[in-house]
Amino acid sequence: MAHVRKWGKTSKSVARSRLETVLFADRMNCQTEMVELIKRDILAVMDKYLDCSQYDVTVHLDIAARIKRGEKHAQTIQIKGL
Amino acid sequence: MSEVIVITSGKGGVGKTTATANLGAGLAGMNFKTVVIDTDIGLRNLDVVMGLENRIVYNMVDVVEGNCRLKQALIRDKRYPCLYLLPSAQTRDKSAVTPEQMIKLTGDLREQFDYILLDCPAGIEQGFKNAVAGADRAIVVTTPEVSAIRDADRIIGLLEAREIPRIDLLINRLRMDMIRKGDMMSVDDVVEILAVNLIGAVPDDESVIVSANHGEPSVGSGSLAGDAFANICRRITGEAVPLLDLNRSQGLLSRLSEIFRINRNQ
Repeated sequence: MAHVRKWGKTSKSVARSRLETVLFADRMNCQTEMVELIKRDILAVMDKYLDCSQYDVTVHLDIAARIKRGEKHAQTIQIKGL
Repeated sequence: MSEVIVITSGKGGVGKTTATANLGAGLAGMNFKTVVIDTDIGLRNLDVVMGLENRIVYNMVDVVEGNCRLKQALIRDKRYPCLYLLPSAQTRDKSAVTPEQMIKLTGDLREQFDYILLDCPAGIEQGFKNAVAGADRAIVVTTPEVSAIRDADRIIGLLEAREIPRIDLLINRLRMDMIRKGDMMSVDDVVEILAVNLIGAVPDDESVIVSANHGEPSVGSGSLAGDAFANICRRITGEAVPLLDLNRSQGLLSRLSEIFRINRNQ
């Protein structure tokens, strides 16, 4: 049976990104729309100071205490030109 | 040292009762004195899954109210001499018992049993509060679906707020065919989202329903789900056991294809 794939995404990846938003909103006790706005604004700030046009940047939000990953384990990504 | 383990989920219908019955059978099969307690007052079902529905004389509420001695309410399992059931009351509701009474009950049971498993009802209200009251650790059961995972996250938050020292995740009803097609979240996906230690992954297995129809455990039946539960029991006791290869196919087509050596494209 053929599975319709929109934009090349599998249904499970849609589920994952929706869950990420929903769980963050549940924990922070805010609306899911707000989570999307936060991500959009972060991207806008980055765009203001950095030239990210050649990169496919995704913003992930999570609570360090919840995922037990904080400063100790944060990944640093070098952006060329800086 | 006795361990009191609450098996909870938040979401209903993800397999808590099945897990409790099977983990109880598995631990008893390893010769640990095990008691499983149905804390779902008003909606009892652990007894029927274990095939002990005809043996109930007294229940947990009777014990807590002092209508009988604890020993009179405990039902010995038909198959596993080390396994006992403390059934729930069908005609009462969750207000019949308080968390303090649950702490006393589990405290009394610690004297006789190595493992005390509490089958927690769905939800986050009185039933949940009663079930977690005396617990040393929790096993959170979820399925790889958005609603179940969301509720599991909430439950994990509540357990952490109560400072339950150990929280483990059991992912139930995995369908490897759907995971391969990208239609279902995998074990890794769920573990990454919930960020809790994984104690085991159980595949969706028709034989679980068949066993429940008979009131028998899946553990020891040779089914893939039964083996997964058996491995979880070993991990509960502290043994490091690698995860089962759930791609071990069991269907008729795969057995035929093994005979004729037909290549199945994956």
